[in-house]
Amino acid sequence: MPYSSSEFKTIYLRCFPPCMRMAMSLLHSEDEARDTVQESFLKLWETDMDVTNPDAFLIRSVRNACINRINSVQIREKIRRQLPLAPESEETDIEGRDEEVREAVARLLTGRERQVVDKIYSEGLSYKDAAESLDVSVATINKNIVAALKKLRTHFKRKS
Amino acid sequence: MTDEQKYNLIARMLDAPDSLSDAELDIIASDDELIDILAISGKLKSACSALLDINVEAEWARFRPRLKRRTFTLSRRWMRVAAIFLGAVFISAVAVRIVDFVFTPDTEPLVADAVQSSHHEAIVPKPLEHPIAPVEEATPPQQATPPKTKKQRAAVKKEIDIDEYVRIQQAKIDNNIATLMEEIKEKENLALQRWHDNENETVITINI
Repeated sequence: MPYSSSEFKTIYLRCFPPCMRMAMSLLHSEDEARDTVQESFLKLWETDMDVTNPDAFLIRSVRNACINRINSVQIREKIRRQLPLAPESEETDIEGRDEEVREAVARLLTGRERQVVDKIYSEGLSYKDAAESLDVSVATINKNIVAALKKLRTHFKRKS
Repeated sequence: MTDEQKYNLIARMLDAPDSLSDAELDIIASDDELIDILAISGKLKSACSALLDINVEAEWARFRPRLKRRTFTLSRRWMRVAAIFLGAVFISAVAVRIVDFVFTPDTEPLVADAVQSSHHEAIVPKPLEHPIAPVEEATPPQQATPPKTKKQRAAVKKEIDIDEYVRIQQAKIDNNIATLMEEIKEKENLALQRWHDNENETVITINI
């Protein structure tokens, strides 16, 4: 353990927020994200290696721990929590990725599609509640969601 | 799968995942388009969620006890390792001591001699140095002074066989009893003879 208690606290206060946000974006569960991030900090505390860049160490450690947790989850649970079924890329800039998605939503989707996405993903409503809120049928909600997701898929496939 | 079927599957995948059967899960896991749609949906969920409000000081206060517990568990683990190591060393030392005790050079010939003597040599009791005392006052069999080494003990064992000794002593006692009985009989006969002689003298005196 190469850090003193005060040094380690400084690292914790600085690195915890970005690590927590990344874990949340991958795991979609606050408790699990917190547990994963804390385990990564404990790993840093206990390591005998001389870690020159603790920020990068923590981000990589949190990401790998999240991937391991996702891989251990059953497929039904993955779908329920909307976790990726296929292995993810090496991206660690989750905030940058989220910003990209928000820009694509604003640029590529129609008004109705953005409305439906907002109801389902920002407000967390079910299809039935979103349909009642927008005074449309459940089938319309589904149609708009599928269209929005297909547009975003095409956009990011072209980019990669 | 038709487009309509796929649309319905996507709707249930995103809105009611618990309603999916195992076969439908397999279909989703093997369809690239469905896998991508699920991944994009996850990213959209992350991007559209409100920025997480994090109170870092509160998080540090929550994390700190876990830091101390983990340090204690580590030291307890080292203590456990040390205890196991010491236990293994102790058991090894005991095992070495036992092996050393069983296979010492003194023990092997001792065992061989004892086995040999029990099969081949006649047991000869030692002649007694002192006269036999009366039965009531029979002293315990004389024994050699306690041997100091295991070899001496084995030698004494050769000389004295308790059973044989008891048999011999019993025979001697029986002999003594028989001898005494004979002496008593002789004395009785002598006394009877004297009485008869006395009676004859009296008769003669009267006749005169």
